[in-house]
Amino acid sequence: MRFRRGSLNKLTLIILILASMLILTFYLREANDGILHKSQVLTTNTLASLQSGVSKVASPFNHAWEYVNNIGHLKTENERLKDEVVSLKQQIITMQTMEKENERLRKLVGFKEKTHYSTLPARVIGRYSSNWQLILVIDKGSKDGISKNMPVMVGEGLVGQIVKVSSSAAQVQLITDRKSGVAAQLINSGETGVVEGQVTGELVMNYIAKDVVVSKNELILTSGLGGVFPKGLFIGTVYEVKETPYGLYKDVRVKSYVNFSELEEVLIITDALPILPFSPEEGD
Amino acid sequence: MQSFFVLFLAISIAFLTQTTIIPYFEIGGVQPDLVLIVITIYAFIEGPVWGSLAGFMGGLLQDLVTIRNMGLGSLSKTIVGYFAGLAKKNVVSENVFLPMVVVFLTSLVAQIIYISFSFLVGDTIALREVFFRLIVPSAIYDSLLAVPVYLLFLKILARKKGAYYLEEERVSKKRENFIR
Repeated sequence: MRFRRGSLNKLTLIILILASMLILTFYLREANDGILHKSQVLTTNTLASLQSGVSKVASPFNHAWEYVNNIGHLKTENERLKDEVVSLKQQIITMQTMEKENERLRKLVGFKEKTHYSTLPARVIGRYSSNWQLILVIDKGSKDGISKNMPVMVGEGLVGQIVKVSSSAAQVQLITDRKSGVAAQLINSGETGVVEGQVTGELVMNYIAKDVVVSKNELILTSGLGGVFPKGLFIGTVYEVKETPYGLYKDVRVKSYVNFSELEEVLIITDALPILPFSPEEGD
Repeated sequence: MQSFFVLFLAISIAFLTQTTIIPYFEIGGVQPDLVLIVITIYAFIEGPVWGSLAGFMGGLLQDLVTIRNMGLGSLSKTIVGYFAGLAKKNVVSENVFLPMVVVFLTSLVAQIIYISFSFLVGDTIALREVFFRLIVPSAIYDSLLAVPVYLLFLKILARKKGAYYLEEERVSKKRENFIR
């Protein structure tokens, strides 16, 4: 009897392991419109309304937890923010002057570049985050005109891009996700590279040659080269530059001002995608 | 059938909580895996067959919302569900230390299995880089959260069995004392 029970245990384990491996194999081999990929989209859609309700109810508790979590930092944070406000006011005045001058010069040379995009606000209703992936779920989907690869932002900077779309919800891959890469540009030198997420949730700008001068707090914007993110979106600033003796590139650590763990609302840029002869849903 | 319903309900609630509330309880970039905790404790109470089924179901549900490598979650959680079930005690007691240790171990092993199989399908994560920064802290977080979950399970799942088990525990202790 004991032997039979032991065999049943092992048989169940083997069957379930094989089933998992079969799912993994089919998933890796099938196209984006395959049955397993479709089941993921269906799950996102089914869960969206439920998550929307739960996130509304849970919101006050989440705020309370955030408050408790940050209570130790509030005083120093407040002082830092006051200093930052003074500095930012100065920067705004300088930038307004520069913007006017820029506009005047553009008119002068007849150069046209799109600097304002149409945005659609969306509410964050869930997070499919774990140690290995950083995904937000938002309450806008294909019926609201959302499609794959659209960039997502907040006032503090770039958040990520749409990776999966169902009719009433979409998944946003954060730029801090270890598989995310954003074509970026250093504002002083104009040097381009790729800002990549790390498994630890940090951001690193790769492919910056050793001879390029990179200064601390230098702004990093999207370069527009990848074909996904339009040029000029704010990503973050440089907070550390390292050089390894045998590496070809500098290790540029990037600080994003977006609080990714407390995002509640985001903006989707709906008209930034390049016009392609095929639908973005078809390829990947 | 009743056990299956309880399992389905427990895993579904854990999954919904995981995708809505748990991410806000992130500390230092680490968040607990409530689905794994529920799988482990369910396995710990019900044994390896139910443990591996719970692992498969919970892992697959999480795989449905992943953006890469669907099947890896169910694979890693099936294996740890099975082994957590082997640690099943014939006597369910209110001592929370053992389930905490089991959850700590399953959390470590599940993450290491996930990384290992990810590597096999070409998705490399440097174990050395993440072991002390992510894996160990999240295993500690999971083991701490295991305490309320285990006590809740004792109340709900073992309501019928609990009285019997606790009585059995008293009898077996008496028997041990008598033999000594």
